[in-house]
Amino acid sequence: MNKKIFLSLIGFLFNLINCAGIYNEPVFINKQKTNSIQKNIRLEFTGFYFYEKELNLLKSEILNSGLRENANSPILLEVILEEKEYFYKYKSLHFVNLIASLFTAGIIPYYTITKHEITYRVSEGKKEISSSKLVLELDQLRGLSLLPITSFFWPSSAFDKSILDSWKMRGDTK
Amino acid sequence: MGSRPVANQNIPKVDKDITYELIGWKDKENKIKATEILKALHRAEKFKTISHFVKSDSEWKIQIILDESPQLAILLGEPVQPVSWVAEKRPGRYSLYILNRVLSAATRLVIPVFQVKEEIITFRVWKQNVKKAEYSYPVETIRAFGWISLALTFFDDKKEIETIYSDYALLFLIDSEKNYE
Repeated sequence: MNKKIFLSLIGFLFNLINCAGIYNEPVFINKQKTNSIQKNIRLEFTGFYFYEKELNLLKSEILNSGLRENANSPILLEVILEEKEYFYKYKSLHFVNLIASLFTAGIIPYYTITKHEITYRVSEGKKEISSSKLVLELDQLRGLSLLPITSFFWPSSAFDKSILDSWKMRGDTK
Repeated sequence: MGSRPVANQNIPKVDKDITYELIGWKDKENKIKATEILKALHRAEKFKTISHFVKSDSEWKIQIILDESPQLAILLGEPVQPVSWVAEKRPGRYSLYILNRVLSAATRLVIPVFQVKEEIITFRVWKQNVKKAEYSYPVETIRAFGWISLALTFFDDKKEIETIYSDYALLFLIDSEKNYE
């Protein structure tokens, strides 16, 4: 293998940490008017097995917004986080981007998007009281040229912000 | 992959109508696995009926949840998690990944590129909105990409990996035996 290509490949791999995440506001895809729910609730998180930090952040955000956790409450609040596949609008352009980034060892950044859906479902007994679903999309850039700004646009922080905002936005629909 | 669970085929019947809800089975590959689980649940004939959960009008519900660990693609790929995830949460694994990729590039794929994926399959039994029980089963798969693994394609255990999902579904039916009262 050509030494130059090899080196640029290695450089490209290390660029996984030279990245930036750009925050997007969560978007509702299912929105129901919620009457303010009772203060005491049971909380159930689903899909957070590999998102422990995010779970704890969101949990304290929910409890700070005035709700209290009570194991005997008839009201259940379910928070469901799902990872989704993202389909790019311009697939060939996206591929050109990858190749360009690969052969410049990441001086041209590589652009990707991750997509999550978060659902807040409130139920009492058999009855579903409300359910809201929001889409969280995170634009991300990876590349050597991003090194100076990486710490300001750390993707996880942008992701955390969009998770917390989804709860606030859900509360606004009361 | 890990050891296969052993499931006894004699599963006592429960005279209940059950709904199921699938969470986290996002892409095509995952949907095949989810189908394996549902097939197994139907074949076991444990419940009177099994139907898809639409609105919470039924008493019993089973949530079938998949949590997938992030993994680095062969080169980069399209991670479903924020890109900083692996470096931030599994720094040890991240450095191994880098080392593995450097080595395999240097040896021109004689040392294969490894991909490790952890999956956690969780079954939750709900009666109305009260959680009766929860069972989690781990599945770990290792994929190798290189010349040697190309030669070994004949011994691929992909078929077996698929049956592991139905085995876990049966195991869940046995484990959750006492929770349908």
